[in-house]
Amino acid sequence: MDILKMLMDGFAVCFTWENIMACIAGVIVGTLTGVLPGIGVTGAMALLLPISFGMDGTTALIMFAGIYYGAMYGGSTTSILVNLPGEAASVVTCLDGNQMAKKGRAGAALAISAIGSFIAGTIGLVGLTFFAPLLSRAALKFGPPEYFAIAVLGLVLLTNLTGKNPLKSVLMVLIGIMMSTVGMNVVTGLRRFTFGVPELMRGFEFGVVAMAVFGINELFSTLLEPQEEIKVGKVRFRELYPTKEELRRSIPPILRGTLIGFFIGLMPGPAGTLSSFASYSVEKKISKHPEEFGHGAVEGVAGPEAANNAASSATMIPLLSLGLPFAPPAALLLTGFIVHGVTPGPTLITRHPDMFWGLVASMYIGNVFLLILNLPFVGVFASMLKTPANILMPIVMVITFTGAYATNNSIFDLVLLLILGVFAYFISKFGYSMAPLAVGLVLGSTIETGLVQGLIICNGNFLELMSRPIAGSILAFAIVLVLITFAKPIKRILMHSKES
Amino acid sequence: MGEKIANGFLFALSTVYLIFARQLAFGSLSYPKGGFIPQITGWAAVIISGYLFVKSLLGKGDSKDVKVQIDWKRFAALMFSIVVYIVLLKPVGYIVSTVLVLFAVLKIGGVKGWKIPCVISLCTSVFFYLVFKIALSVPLPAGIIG
Repeated sequence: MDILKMLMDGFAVCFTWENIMACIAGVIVGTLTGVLPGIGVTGAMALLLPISFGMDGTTALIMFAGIYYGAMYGGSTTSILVNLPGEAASVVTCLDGNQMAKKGRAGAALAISAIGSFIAGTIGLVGLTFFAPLLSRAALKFGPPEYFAIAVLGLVLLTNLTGKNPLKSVLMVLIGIMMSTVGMNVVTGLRRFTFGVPELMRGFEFGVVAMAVFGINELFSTLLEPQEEIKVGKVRFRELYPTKEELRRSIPPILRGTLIGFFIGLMPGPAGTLSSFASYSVEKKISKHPEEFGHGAVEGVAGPEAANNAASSATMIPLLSLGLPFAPPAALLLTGFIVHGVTPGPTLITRHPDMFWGLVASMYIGNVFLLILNLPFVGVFASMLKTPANILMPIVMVITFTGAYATNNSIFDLVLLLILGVFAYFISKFGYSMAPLAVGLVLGSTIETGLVQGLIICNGNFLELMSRPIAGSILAFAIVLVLITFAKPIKRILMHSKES
Repeated sequence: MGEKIANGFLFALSTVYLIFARQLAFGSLSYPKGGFIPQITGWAAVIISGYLFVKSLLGKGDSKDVKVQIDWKRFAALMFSIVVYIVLLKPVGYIVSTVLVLFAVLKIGGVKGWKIPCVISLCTSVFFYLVFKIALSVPLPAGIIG
């Protein structure tokens, strides 16, 4: 009951003119981000970070969260209409969504996708509402070793789930941690890797790094590589009604997708993408008509779209209750909190209840806005695809550079933006994912502080650190995961050397 | 070839980092100092990047068949425009330098004619100047028109 009362207070916080406008702006930008293939959700959030400097903290976070979950809705539109996923999480929707569109059921596919997203997003939020305070309460007992263990497990899971080659993901995490060591060390006060450059004293600004590795990277891809012409058909409002049969077949996949998405969302990594693929494969496996999949099965749209939306709600739980972001968009939300003088974690709910509950309440409201935006106005968003990329991306570039400059009013940040953007563009061509780098950069200081303080507490005895029940069991799980991941390649190398 | 360069670059980066990390005090397990995490991370990065680099040199890399389709002339023009923008931003000011870079990038992107790129670059620059400077109170360089 206490939680429900708090949630009502959150709605009271949310129902102000500024917060409602921020919520609407966030979900519109999010939907556009999902629709337009060139702009990723992390890039869009990074671009808007400087715009939030003048806003109230709660208002800014409401807008950022709106962008994040809004992108999950928008991504399906292009998947269904033009077989082009706006977001990685909507790749799987292309398989059956576009086939439905080819059979003249585009409107029905869009409606099922929006309804599924709404149901899953809302159920996911109920989970967030009740689960985050519980986890926060438990996390109050955590010390530096426990935070170190959770951050390590997060990074281990992330490297397992991102990219094709786990070693490349590990290397990107390490480079992220290396970047986090630049500047003033919070534990010792020591200046590291600054080379006498005053701008490096404050370390790498996460917003600038995110703009570079996600924003500039996309800009270069669009302007320097051949692009396919996109043709978008018209979708009329009267076509947006699924048949009774389509609705009946969609409900169970939506509920299963919600469960799958919620649990995958609690884990680090590209939860939206993983959950949509997991849901698709579950639906195909349990279907009485698996042959329909890939040819316009409505279950292939309903399940994955529900899953990626439930995952986006669940991703908020570790961020809001532990202060640990396990995905780049969550890391940007963390930056948004820090910019406004708030550190998310176990004390967020008790110290800043207005901010926490206002944010959660805004997500319920945002889901309703998204349902409205993605049903009657789906044609408007789809028509945005007609904007030529060679006009849109230079404008995005201007926002990126202006935003990066505005972060610290520093030309140095622009130089950094360009160097990191070029680095990310070339490196990502060869199987290196930028998400582990971004998360490594954010979690680097947590890992360093946690390990250093943990070792001091345990007098340098790592076994004593492992004997702490929570930290020990989490670290043991992480070690087992590492062993499983690298046991196979090592075995293969040994077999190969034996044979030769 | 591309993968070898990418892996070689990451190996070089990790090695340089480790060299500088080794100049920091490591401390001990019971009292770790500022170089503790940098040295551990540096060593791990050198080992992994070295392994990946050697693997790609032996032709066993997992991205060896990736062909990068980049228009290098456009790349050079884009880089030149951005570098000029960064150099000019403070002395010339936000509006003028942004109009110039946006016009250049629109042309590099293949937008035909002169009118459309001119109008877009002028309107966009003025719009963002007003948004950042007036609505958000973010100080942007005024330069020659200040």
